[in-house]
Amino acid sequence: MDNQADVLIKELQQGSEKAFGLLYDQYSSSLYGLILKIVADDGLAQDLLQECFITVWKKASLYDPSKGSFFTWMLNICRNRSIDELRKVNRQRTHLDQIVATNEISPLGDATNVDAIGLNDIIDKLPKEQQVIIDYLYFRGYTQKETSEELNIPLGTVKTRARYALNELKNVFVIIVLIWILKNT
Amino acid sequence: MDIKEYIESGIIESYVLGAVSDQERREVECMSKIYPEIEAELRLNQASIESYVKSIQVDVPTGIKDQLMDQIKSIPQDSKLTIVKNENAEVKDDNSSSIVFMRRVAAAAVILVLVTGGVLITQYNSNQNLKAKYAELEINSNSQKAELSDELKGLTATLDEMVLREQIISSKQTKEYQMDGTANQPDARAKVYWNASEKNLLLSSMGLPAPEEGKQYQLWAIAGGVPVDLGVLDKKRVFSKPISVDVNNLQAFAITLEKDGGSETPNLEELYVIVNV
Repeated sequence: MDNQADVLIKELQQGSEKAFGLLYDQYSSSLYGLILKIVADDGLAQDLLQECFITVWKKASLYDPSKGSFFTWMLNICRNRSIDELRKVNRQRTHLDQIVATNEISPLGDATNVDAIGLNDIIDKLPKEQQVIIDYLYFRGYTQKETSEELNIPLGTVKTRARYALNELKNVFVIIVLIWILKNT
Repeated sequence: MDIKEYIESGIIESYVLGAVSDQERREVECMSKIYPEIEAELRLNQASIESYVKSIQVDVPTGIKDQLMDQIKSIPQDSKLTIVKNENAEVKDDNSSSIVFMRRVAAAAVILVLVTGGVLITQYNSNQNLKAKYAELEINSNSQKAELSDELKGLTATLDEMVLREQIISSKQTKEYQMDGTANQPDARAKVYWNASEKNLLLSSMGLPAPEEGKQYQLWAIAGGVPVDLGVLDKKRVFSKPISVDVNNLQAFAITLEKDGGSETPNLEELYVIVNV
């Protein structure tokens, strides 16, 4: 699978539209899920998804495998762009109603989530205080310091909870992968 | 560098969650290139995020793909070739070997800066400590210096005196006179070294008893029947300084015990030693 992916990426870097199409098929729903989770607005999320895929197309040669997988690279493009947009939207909304803005960036309901592995949002399975940290850091793009100030908890606690949450995710995914393998064999 | 400590600091988790500063981001990327353990931890965390995002995937409305496929036909890719060919352009390409090399150099430089920084900070701190200690020592040494300098001056003066004494004593013209105790003070002794041609004298007063409180020995010359004051003797001094005696018709030397500071005329009742010249 890795080799196949490597070949696709190389082809994309050489300007292959076909490779681009295949990568879109493979990753678009994940990336869309991420963008949607961050901006919580279908129309905006679709615009951002297109914009990000254009970026992937244009900047494909800048992908550096030593920093992580191609998927991670795309995730970062989508996350960064979406958080930029979220901040822009939040700034505009702040003038109107700060509370409404905060409520509206809460994670989406189950209705729009199509869970590929048959599980609900795994983040929901984390302890509440860890969920909040992941939410602020990853989906709202707060720095650890901002998160600590916003939630009024020590910076060290933010770091510890982020670490626990990630470790928890690692453990959860081992189980999920096992379940997935069992289901598909 | 304690790799375990670095991993446990939680920086890698923060990195994959995108919650690090630019500097921290570069640091993690640099570290992961150097230490395989850090890279492995990084990959594991990235995989967690990837799996997580896969789990929240949402089907994209149809039509978007077709729009995209249309759009990219007219959008050129940023090519490493065009960038490399354009010599004036800023080289941004990640894949060219020189860039890889430069990045390694940069990574090495960063490490060097970190290490050097650490060393410098340590040195700075110890330097500050040394400075403080030095200042302390300097204060101590300054007072010691002053003490030593005074002591040295004293010793030099004493040495000069001794040389002079030696010159006087060993001179051919100098005569030694034993001053004997009087009837009242039979045990008192003193010596006079008298150089008649230079008109210099030296007194050795060790044989005199310690003076009473408030009293001081005074040396006299008797010349032409008249006592001439030659000054009081230093209480602590074993040998007196050379004394210049400019008198005619010298007859005798005498020492009396007088009130502190000496008297104008000798108190003959307290005459301790005398010698005729």
